Parts: sequence; structure tokens; C-alpha cells
Amino acid sequence: MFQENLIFYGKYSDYMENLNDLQIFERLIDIAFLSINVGILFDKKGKNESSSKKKEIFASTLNNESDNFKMLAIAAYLKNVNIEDISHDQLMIDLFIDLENSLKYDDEKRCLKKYEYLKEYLFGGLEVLNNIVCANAYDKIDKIKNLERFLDQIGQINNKGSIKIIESLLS
Amino acid sequence: MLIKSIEYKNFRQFENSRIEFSTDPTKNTTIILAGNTNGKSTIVESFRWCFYGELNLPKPKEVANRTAFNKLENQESLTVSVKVELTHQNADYIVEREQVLKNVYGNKRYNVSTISISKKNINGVYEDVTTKMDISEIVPLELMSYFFFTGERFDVLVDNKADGKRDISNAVRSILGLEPVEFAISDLDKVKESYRIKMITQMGDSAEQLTNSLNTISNEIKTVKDKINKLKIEKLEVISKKDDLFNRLQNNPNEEREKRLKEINSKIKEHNNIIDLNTQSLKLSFKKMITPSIFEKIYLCNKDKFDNLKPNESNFTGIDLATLERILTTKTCICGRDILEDTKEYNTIVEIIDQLKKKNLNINEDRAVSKVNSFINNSKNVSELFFVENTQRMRNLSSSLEQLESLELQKNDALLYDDNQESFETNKKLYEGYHETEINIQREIDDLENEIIEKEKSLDEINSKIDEYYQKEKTNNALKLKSDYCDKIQEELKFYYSNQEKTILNKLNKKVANLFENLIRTKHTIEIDSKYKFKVKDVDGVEATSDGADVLTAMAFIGGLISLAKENSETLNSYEPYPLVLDSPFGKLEKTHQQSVSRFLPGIPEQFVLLVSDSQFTDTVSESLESKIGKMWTIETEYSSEGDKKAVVKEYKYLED
Repeated sequence: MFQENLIFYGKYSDYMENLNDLQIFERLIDIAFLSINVGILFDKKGKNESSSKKKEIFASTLNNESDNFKMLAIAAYLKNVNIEDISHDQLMIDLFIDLENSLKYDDEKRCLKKYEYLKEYLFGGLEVLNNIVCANAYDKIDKIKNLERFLDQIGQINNKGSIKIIESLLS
Repeated sequence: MLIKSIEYKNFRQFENSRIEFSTDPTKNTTIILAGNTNGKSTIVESFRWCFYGELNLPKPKEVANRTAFNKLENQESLTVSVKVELTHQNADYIVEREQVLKNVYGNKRYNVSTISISKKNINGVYEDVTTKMDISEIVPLELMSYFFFTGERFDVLVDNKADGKRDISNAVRSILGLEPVEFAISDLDKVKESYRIKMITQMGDSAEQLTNSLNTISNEIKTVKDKINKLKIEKLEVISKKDDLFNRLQNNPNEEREKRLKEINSKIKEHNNIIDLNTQSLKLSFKKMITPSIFEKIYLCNKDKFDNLKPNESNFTGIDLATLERILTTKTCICGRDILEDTKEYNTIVEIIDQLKKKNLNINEDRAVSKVNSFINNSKNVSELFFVENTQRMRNLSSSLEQLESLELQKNDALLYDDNQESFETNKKLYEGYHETEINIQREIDDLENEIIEKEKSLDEINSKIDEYYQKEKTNNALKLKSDYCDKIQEELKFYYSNQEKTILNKLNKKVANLFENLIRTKHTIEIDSKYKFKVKDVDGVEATSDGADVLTAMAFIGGLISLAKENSETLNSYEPYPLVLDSPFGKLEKTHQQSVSRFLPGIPEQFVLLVSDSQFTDTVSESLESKIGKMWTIETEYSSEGDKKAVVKEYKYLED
């Protein structure tokens, strides 16, 4: 499914490192998943930088988690598409083309779109996480407390309304 | 290789001396007793000079004996030589290095030194084989340092500081033959630099300006990095003062202090357990549950869209996709009728095409939608527990980390404790002073590191502008590609290097840890990190540093390195015996450790040569080694009337005495 490593450049590499320093994530990909989820949930997007500084997740690691990526890509796509503007069949193709087939998403234009969204949410979510957890933290304990509060707030989300309350807290 | 004897002629303070070494496997130890400055280091280093013409001593070029030289008339010559008799792969060899020097109006004129290797043939006669073989076939230069240890180098290893770590790191690198990889990495930098210069030449004036700024910022970064390095050294000095203070107090045991420490250590252990437990649970939960758990929230916030995902079962059969696509492209039906855009017919054809494509793409809507729904249902089941459990875990974790911080402070207080209130206060003030200085230095380091980050950002910006220039030039594009290719090769080499280093370090860790367990009588263990720094820990896992333990660790390192060197060398046969020549290792050891070390050392190599001063050759050492000593020598120093040193070597009949 994934043929290339996922690389975080510049500030995103710093963010990954900041969060990894908490030592509560076994793998970088776990931080990436948390970021994508946060990005989609709060609809925050970002764009990778160009820099010599980088952190990398190997393609093989990404492929081992393909089921989660496929579901998140569906969510990312749904978040960005107005269902009424697109035919039912087209929607099904865009959403599910890679769900059971082992298509290379990079080769498939339609499929690529949802993974583009996914990437944007990854970087956006990572920035949100870093700002909430690390940016103003004094030390590791502070960071853990920040993450704990943030997860607690996410845990209380029941509907679109409740996310707006948290979004206002974020800003 | 086993050394049978070494013979000196006019070499440094050895005018005319010969030392024989024990090659008896049951009594494999030779002792050379000599006071400080009586030539122990010269003996260790003389092997390197004989084999490779190198000397790691002060004034390394001055190999000639001064008294002998002073006797020379103008234009007269003198031969300096070191001759080593040895056995290697069941054959006898004599390796001799000679150097002639001449007195030219009172000045020394040295000729180039020459080595000769002779091998005993079946008739018992030594034949010159210098042109047929190289000394590296007997003992490779890069491995010499593991078999011949001077006291100075041993002390550096014991101190567990930067030089010692570098020594071990160099040893690991040369055992693995990693130098060529290092050279390749740095050579690629030169290649990239040459491409860069070529590119800049083709880029014109504005590019030159950019390059100048690039160089200025690079130099500024270098200056800041130098400052950081200086501060780091200052910080290490302060830390070492702090350690000295603790060590001084530890050397004066105090019952109350021990009691307090024990209590605090047990609490620390308790909190470390809580931290471990919660960290592991968090890691596992994040690894398995992050996506399903937060996905439920994503679903709840986008319910309308997810709920709209329903399969559509209308089917079209017998219609060819290519035909329909052609109708759309030509906007003409097969019957010749026009099919205009946005008409009912046109839209129907588009819909049918989508469905056919979906079929061709093997999308089973039913299954796909039910997969998504089942993922959402699973999310609902795990989500609540995920948030409740993990926020609680993080609460426990931060609380234990806070407790641990406070316990570390209490531990410092306990370590500084003294029955005498006044001394206690003085210790505390001293410690607080050091601690504050350390924190201030660290703050300065942090500020400078942030400065570097900012400067590196500017570098990145300039580099991307330069990249834009590159894109414009076709030739530069080619050079850029080559340069990128160099980057890739460097990455690969670095990856290979670090993997190899990791593997060998793991092996070394195991060997050192095993040897250390044999050496130490208490239940301490040793841990070595990736920077070759070692920590000795007690049964509770608490760091327990002492000079004695450091010496034992260094011994274990030497043992481990010798074993690794033999295992990894292409030249050395791992069954071939080798010597360990070691200078003054007992200085910092307590009696009990002296005993275990003395018993252990002869077992590391097949032949053991111990150079030791009278004061270090205590009864404990001598009794422990007694059964292993095959030969023993003493070296005394005599001074000529001109004040020149002369070493007098005598065999000491140890067993008869």
C-alpha cells in the first residue's frame, strides 16, 4: 500500500521529537495516529516543510497498520466532500477503492485524494497536539498533565456541539 | 603470539637488558616490579616500537640511551635495538627493530629504523623472512592496543570519562574495521563540497551573495557550538565536584545516613514501579486503541455523513464501458442521435459508467459499508474505557514523577547528611552552590542551542533559495542529482555503521557483564549505554559508584575487548594464544577487590605480564597470584654521574624466596 517512508521535516520533526520525549508512545506511528485523529476531529490541516531536519516512519511500519489508515482516510475524505455534489457510485469508488483491493494508492488518482487529506490532517493534528501538550510546558510532567487534560476533553465529546466548545478552548 | 623474551640495546633507559617471560600455560604470569618512573611504560611501549616503529611516550623520537650517546665521539655511530623473541602458530620467531644514530658535532642524526623478522626452520636455524611476511600477520597494529595497556591509558579507562569512552569507542571501531566507512562518509562530504563550488560558479553574483550568507551563518553556528562545548566541559567539572562531594561522604559511612538513604531508595523504587507500570500500559493502549477510540468521536461529529453510506444495488448488465465512454466523448449515440451535456440521457450514461467502473474495480459496497460500520461499532465499545483508563494512568504517572522529583531532592539531603549539624549545613551549601551553577550553565546551553535552531532555520531558507537557482540550470540539476546521490550513499553508510556498532556493543555488553560478575563479590551489576558510559548498580537498581568498582569495570572491558578483537579479526586465529601486558592496575582497589582481580587477571589472556610498583604489589596481590607466577623481574634505576637514568633489570627468584 505505502511505497515510501513517511517523513516529518523541520518543525514537524521537532513536534514528533517533543511528543516522543514523553516516553509514553512505543512507536512514532502511534503519535502519527493520535495526530491524524486530532486533525480530523478538529478539522486542522497542515503542510509538510522542507528542511534538513527530519524524522521518519518506515513504509513497512505504515503498511502493517493499513487497516487503521484506510478507515481514517475514509473519515478524512467524508469530512472534505459534500455528498450531494457527487454521485453515489463515485462516492463509493472514492471511499472504498482500496478497502479490499491491494491497490497502490499512489498510482490511483482518486484514491490519492483521500490520502492527501489524511496527510494534511496528520500535520495539522500534530501541530495542534504540540501546541496543546508541549509548547508552553515547563517539563515532562507538565506535558503529561496537558495531554491528560486534552484526552479528557476529547473523551467528553458527544456531538458536533461539544467539539465547538473544545475548539474555543483550543484557540 | 606468546612473547618469550625482549632484549634492549641502548633503548631509552635500557642500555643492555633482557627480560624473559613465562610461556608456561599453568604459570602464565610474569611480574615486573618497578618503582614509579623506573620504565614500566617504556617496556609496554617498546613492543609497539619494535613491531611498528611507533612510541606513545614523551619525546617519542628520542629512542637512544643518553649515556651511550654521550660516550660517542663526533661522527661515531650507535645502534639502538629492541629484539622480541616469540612463538606464533607453533613457530619460533625473532622480530628485531634497529635504528642507527650518529653524533654530528654533538647533535643526534637518526637513520630510518628497520625491522627484521626471522623464523626458525626445521633444522633449528633462524631464517630471514622479512620479505615474505609482514608483522601485521602476527599482531595487527590496530589490535596492539588491546594487548598492551600502559598505566595512563588504564587510568583514563577507569575514570569513565570522555577519553576513556573514546578509547573504547576507537577499539570497537577498529575491531569492526569501521574506519574505511568513516573515511568514505567524510570523503563524500568533500565530493559534495566540490559539486557545490561548481554549482555556485555557474550561478552568478546573487548566488554568491547567498553563499556568502550561508558561510557566515555556518561560521556563526560553529562559534556557538564551540561555546556550547566549553560550557558542557564546565558543567562536567561542576558535576564531578558534586560527585566528589558525595564520594567523600560515602567513604565515611554513617548509620543515620544509610538508614535515610535506604528508606528513600525504597520509596524511589516503589514510584519507579508505578511509573513503569503506567508507562507500559499507556504504550500498549496507545498502540492498540488510539484510532478506534478517537474514531468514535470523529463518527459522532460527522454522523450525518457516515450514516449516509448505504449500498446501492441497481445493476446494469450487457453494456460495454468503452462504448459508453465513447458516446460521452463524441457526444453521439450509437444510433447517431446527439447526446448533449446536462441532458437526462447524458447524466444517466455518466451514472451507468460510474457503476460499471465500480464493478470493474471490484468494489463490494455491502461488504465495504459493513466494514466501516463494524469499525464504528468496535470504536463505540472501546472508546469510553480508553479515555477513562488512560487519563487515570497519566494522572498516576505525573503524580509519581512529581513524587520522584521530590524524593531525588530528599535523597541528596540524605546523601549529604552528617551527624555534625555544622558539617551537614556546609555540605548542603556546597551542594546547592554546585547545583545552582550547573543549572545556570544548562540554561546558557539551552539558550545557545535555541540560537542554533534559529540559525539553522535561516540556513534552511537560504538553502532552499539556492535550490531554486539550481533548478534553473540544467548543468546544476545534474550536479544536484549527483550531490543528492552522495547524500543517499552517506545515509546508507551511516545506517550500516550504526547497526554494526550496535551489534558489537551488545556483544561487548554481554561479555563485560559476565566478566564483571566473575570479578565482583557483591551482587552488583553493570550497565553500559550506547555512549560507552558504564554504571554500576546495586541489588535495588540504584547507582553505586566507587573507585574500586570502576577499576573492576575497566578490567572487565579489557577482557571483553580482547575476546571481541580475537573473535572479529580476520588475521588472528581465535584459538591462537595472546598476551595481556598491563601496567599498574591496582592503585584504586580495596583489599577484597585486589584479591579477586589478581585471581581473575591471569585467566583473561593465555599469557599475562603485570608491571607493578612495590606499593601496589601488596601481600594480598602476591598471595592471590602466587600459583600463577612463572617469572618475576625487578627494575631499579641507577643514575650516572651526569644525572642520566639507567634501568637495571634483575631476575627475582620469587619461588625460592
